[in-house]
Amino acid sequence: MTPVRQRLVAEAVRLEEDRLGRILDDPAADARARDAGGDFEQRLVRRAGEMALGRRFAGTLERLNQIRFWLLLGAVVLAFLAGMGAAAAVFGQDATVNIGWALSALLGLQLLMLLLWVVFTLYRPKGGGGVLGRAALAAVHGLGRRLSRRPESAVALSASVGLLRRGGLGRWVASALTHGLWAMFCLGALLGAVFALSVRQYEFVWGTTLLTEGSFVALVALLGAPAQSLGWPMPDAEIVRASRIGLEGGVGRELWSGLLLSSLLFYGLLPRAVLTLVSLLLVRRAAGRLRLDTSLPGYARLSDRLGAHARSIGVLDPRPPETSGLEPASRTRPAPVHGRVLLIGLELERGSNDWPPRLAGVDWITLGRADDRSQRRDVLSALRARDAAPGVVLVLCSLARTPDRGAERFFATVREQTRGPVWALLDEGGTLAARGIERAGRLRQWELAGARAGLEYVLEIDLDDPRHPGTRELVELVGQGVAEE
Amino acid sequence: MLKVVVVGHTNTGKTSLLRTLSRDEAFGQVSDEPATTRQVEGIQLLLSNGEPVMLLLDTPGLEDPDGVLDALDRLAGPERFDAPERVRRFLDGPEAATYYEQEAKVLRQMLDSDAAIYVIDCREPVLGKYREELTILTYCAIPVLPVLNFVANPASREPEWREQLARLNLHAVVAFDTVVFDEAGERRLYEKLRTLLDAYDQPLQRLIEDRRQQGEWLRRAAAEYLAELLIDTAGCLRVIPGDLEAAKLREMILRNQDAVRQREQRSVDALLRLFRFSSSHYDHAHLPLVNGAWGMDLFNPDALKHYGMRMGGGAAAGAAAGAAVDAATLGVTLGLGTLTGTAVGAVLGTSLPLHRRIWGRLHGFSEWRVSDDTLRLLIVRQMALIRALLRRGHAAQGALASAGSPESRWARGPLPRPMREARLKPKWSRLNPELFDPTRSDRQLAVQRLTEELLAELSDQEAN
Repeated sequence: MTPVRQRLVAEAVRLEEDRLGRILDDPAADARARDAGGDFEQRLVRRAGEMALGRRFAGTLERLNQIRFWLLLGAVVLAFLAGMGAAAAVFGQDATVNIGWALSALLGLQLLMLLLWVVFTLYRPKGGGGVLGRAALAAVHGLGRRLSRRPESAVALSASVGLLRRGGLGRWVASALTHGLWAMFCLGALLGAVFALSVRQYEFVWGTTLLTEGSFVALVALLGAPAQSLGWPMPDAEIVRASRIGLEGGVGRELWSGLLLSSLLFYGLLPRAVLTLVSLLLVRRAAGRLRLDTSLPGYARLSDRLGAHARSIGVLDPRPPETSGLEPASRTRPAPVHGRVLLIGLELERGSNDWPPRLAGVDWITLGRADDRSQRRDVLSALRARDAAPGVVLVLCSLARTPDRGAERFFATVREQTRGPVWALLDEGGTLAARGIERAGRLRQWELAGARAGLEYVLEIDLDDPRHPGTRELVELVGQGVAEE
Repeated sequence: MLKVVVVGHTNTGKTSLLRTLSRDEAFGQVSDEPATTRQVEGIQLLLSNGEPVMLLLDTPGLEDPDGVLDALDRLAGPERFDAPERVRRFLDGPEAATYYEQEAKVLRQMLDSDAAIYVIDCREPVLGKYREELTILTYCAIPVLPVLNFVANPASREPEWREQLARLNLHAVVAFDTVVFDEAGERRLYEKLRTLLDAYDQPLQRLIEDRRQQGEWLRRAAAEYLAELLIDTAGCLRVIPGDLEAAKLREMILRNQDAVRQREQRSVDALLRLFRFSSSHYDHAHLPLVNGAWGMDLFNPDALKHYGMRMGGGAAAGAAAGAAVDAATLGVTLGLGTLTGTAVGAVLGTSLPLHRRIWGRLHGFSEWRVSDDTLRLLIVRQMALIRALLRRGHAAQGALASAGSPESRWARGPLPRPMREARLKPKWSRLNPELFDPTRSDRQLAVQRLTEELLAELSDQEAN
């Protein structure tokens, strides 16, 4: 499919989606467009081509093109016949041919139209392209619409109309049509004239009432110049004067017919043929440069679907085998503690002003906070220094933290370094709630960490709220403990 | 290709960051558990045309920096190895395969990457373990870019973190909320990476440019959806028999209003889909919507007040055409009957074929349209939604829901020209199914021009 056809399909798909008011979902087409790469416009074109709807439109465009081809052929034949007709009208039954009349009939009108085309092309760049070509295009579109009555044809045709407006494509298509049809007209006229001049004998005369003889001589010289430069004999001033109406006829018949045919060739057929070729080249260039106008409504919303963002390359380093699942530490309440109560703070939210924490009814010995390596070392050596078995070691943790292996390892080390029971107290549930994180899940994670480290008990408390059930339980459990023996 | 490893403590949002940067919501696993990611997984960031520019690696969380630092210190030994060499030896050692298996995975990728992004949950205080992690990361001798996650959270301790990072000699820091999409934040992140990675200046530049372009398409698409909604609504036209009894008339008006409401909801749905808002990945709380719909009815006079507009505030513009806004008609204009002779031509000039218009006049029909005020409300609140969708993650989001948007020039002044034109072109409106003609190029042009106007307004406000 040509680039223009592909873009026509994309335009048609866009118009159809616009009509429906929604994007047609076709993930396979989106994926193929993404994989094909290229800029956004190319991906849009690719997507349309891959869609089922796009393929239907491509078929429709193909059919429309066939219709267009026959219509164009008809127009070409008509133009040719019109040329023949014009020649037949000029070289009628009358044996005398008025040269001025013949020239204006065969060349005058189309030279005038050529002038109009030049003016249009120069001064109205958008609407240019020639009257005849525009009319032919409109007729082809109109007839196409009539001849192909499927609903898709209407959409495909309006897509063509929209696309033809872009990048001068329509102008040069219309120009090519204009010049092509005129070239056919000239060809018809030329062949008609050759035929008529071959089988009949004409007397060539001319006359004027208003103009001077000199101006006609000059005109003949001008018309004959191209042929003369190629070495064809042309009527000179003597013969021109001698052919004036009223003088004896039959002067320079071959020369006059040569002038007529050569001016048809050099002022009619050749320029039109050249301009047709140039227009066709410009059509090709415009078609090659044709891009969709991605600012048209309906394209931007596809950018996200058609843009590649990322490609997963999978796992580079696989996960280790799962460690055997541990159940959380048993929630069985331990017996009240009578010995010393040691307190360690682990990565708490509370500032140093709030440390050590106070809890009415409980007397604890704070060993310090274990937030970084040196603190942990200090806390652990302080724990070892109190070699006698304590009643309990409390590790105060923050529910705002995610229990990690570091915390777990610290639990395990504390567990190792003391003979008394070790409990984890989970405080600062308020901070967790403020972050909108689910409490139950976090609690369970800490309980699991405690269990893996071999802690005896994990208890959720709230040191700021003495009525919190966990806080009350803690007071009951360690309230009988002593600070110093 | 540029290889960047994303590291951080457990549960700080590393995988979320990758999902956001890659726009791939299915990437990896995200949960509020520790150690959700226990493997190293890679994802390539691509330009829109499919060309890969960067490989991002998702890693397990660092969990026990204490232990790793201890081990690294032990390796320092008498031979005085430099830091990367110590890390290498640690990775060859037995602990790296057992006790510190997860940390070793991270460090192995660190040694093999061009840069690292260190994700920080900046609601957390700057704990010792985080400083230790950063120390270990600097041992690997590649640039480290700290990314502050959850900066929009009220509990954010951003200044504290920035100060501490500066103390650790990490001066290039970027704030980027991973759970919300923020185009500017993403660009800042890539810009910072660019400054750290001279050798990858070109690919990063292209990535930035590509993402910018994608953002522009997104904005254009959003503006386009709104433009279509506005053209459809402005052009909506119903012919109502004049001799209809009150109850029937009311029923008819309500039915017409419903059609407009549904049209607005379709536009909202399209916008949410466009911004991939259907997924739970994004934070719905930042939007001025309730369950994906407007809480306040379009035709409720209170909705106008809510958006800081007065009923009939734009009546002057409407009055030019002779149309009166009556509060009793609930935000709709009942035309024709109230139109003066000269205004009939102005309003109905091209709306209906002449014979139907004359026939309508003779039979006392009137026309139902959506009032200027309602159109204003539509623009203002849909623009508020688009802005909210574009700027998710920025701090002052709470106010958006009730934003009076007095800054919007359409809350008071004349409606955009394409909308005024659409008033007279029922053929442009999808709400008039029997008249609607999508192939009309003038409608397309109007949508295009309105889109440009809305885009300009969006970028104006973004600049402020």
